[in-house]
Amino acid sequence: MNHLFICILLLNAISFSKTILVVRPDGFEYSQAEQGLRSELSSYKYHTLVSSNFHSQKQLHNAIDSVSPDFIVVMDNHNLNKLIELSTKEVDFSQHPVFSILSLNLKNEIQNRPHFYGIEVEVPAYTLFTQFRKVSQSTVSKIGVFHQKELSARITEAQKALKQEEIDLVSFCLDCKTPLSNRVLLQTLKKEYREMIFTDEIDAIWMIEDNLSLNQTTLEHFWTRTVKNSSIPILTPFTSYTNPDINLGHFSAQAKYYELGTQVGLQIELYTEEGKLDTQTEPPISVNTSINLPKLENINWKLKKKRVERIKQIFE
Amino acid sequence: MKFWLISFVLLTSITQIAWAQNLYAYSHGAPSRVVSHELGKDSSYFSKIWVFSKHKDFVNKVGFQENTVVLAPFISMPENQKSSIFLTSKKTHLEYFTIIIHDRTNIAKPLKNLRVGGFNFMGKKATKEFIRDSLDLQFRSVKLAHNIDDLQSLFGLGIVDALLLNETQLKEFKDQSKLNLLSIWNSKRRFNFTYSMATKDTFTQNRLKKSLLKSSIPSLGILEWSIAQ
Repeated sequence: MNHLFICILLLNAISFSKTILVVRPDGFEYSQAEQGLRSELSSYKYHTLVSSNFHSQKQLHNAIDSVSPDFIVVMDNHNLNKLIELSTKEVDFSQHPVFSILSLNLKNEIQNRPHFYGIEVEVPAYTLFTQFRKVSQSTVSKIGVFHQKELSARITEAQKALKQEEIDLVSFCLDCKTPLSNRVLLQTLKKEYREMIFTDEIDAIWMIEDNLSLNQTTLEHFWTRTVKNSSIPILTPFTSYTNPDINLGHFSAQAKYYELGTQVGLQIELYTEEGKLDTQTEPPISVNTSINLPKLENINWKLKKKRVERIKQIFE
Repeated sequence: MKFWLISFVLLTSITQIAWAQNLYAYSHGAPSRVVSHELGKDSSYFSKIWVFSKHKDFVNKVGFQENTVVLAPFISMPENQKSSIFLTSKKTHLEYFTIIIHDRTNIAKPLKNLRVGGFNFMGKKATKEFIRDSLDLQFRSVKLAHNIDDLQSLFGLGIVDALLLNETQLKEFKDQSKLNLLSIWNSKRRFNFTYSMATKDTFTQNRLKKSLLKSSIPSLGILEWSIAQ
């Protein structure tokens, strides 16, 4: 009789814990994110599909069939795209909602796809510039950005958020009127950059993750020549750019991997409580910042020393 | 077999006692301890103040000025409401906290849809319970941050609609942000409630008490603890 009771209790315990299938590549950032997720949702059962290569559609389908997870947490764009393909064919994701992290351009990727959610990896301009302003004594009230048409919505959002902090975002859309050749693109960038510096009098420039304003040609002929030696700071989403070896950016902010995992855990928790979410994606909240001190000193940028000490990565 | 039966009975009894305590606290927790208020002096700051309370008694006892107060027990906020908002309840220990709502469009949301942000100062679960209970409001969700920078992002990016801060946190927040905090209500020790965690079990209550007493936020250390009377 006692055994029967124990069995019932055990069965209850098992049936109440939800299951998450984690699909991710091998690598430090992905394992960190998974750790964050596991710490946030510690009572869940986990099945992790890790691969140093890419997962095939068939592998993913089989894993979903055999695990039958309550949720799928997917990392990186390749795996996400495979799941998106599956959603249009064989798998009913209403039974296994997908939460994505560490995928670029997530908002656009999953737009209008039901049962797909996640945390964006791109740090919002709001976070980048408010973090920079906290360490700056010099004024940061007007910033410039170049972008392609596809990013217009993100720019508008950034403008609205920054306005709350009394920061103006001066933007220039490079291909909104016509597509540009590399030669014309470079000419346009240089001309508009001068315009932003001398007419708009911007205090800093935002180097956004954008494969038009930031391609091999523009990096070589615009960012590392024209902008690099200018008198205003460049704020970048890439920590490596503030490293003196590359020496391109003055300040950067990058999403914390572990916290991306915890944030997506919270999103899953809310979904579990309510069965839906207000928005498909959320921006990352916790960031690591890094600063290139010699480069800022070169342009006589005044800093708040006590604040600088709090920065995660300081290049001196 | 006896063991299981006894366990079952005990467990059920404990649950029922806790439930009964909660019910008692909710139904009898009217603010008999309100001793003073000075809200009227500040009312010029607001065009209209909304008080949310389950207890009509509360509003009467506090005696808000008639022209500045609308009693709205857990109802949706009307659209295009130009007023600021003030949240309170029988159990609120508002003297240590400030509620900020910065976006008037969000104020028009039904209150139960309000998303609140706060500091994670004693562990996630306990902090969430603390926020929910100290406001006695059915918030949609509570998001917690570990530092003021993250809290600023949560708020500035519109992930939460309101923040719950103590005075120190509010000062730090205002020092580093230029967010237009349209509707600030800072109660400034105007209410003298016994803080109650009536909805919590004894374990959580003791744990919270210990955490609060150890807390680096000095004002939290002097909270009194008792089931609402």
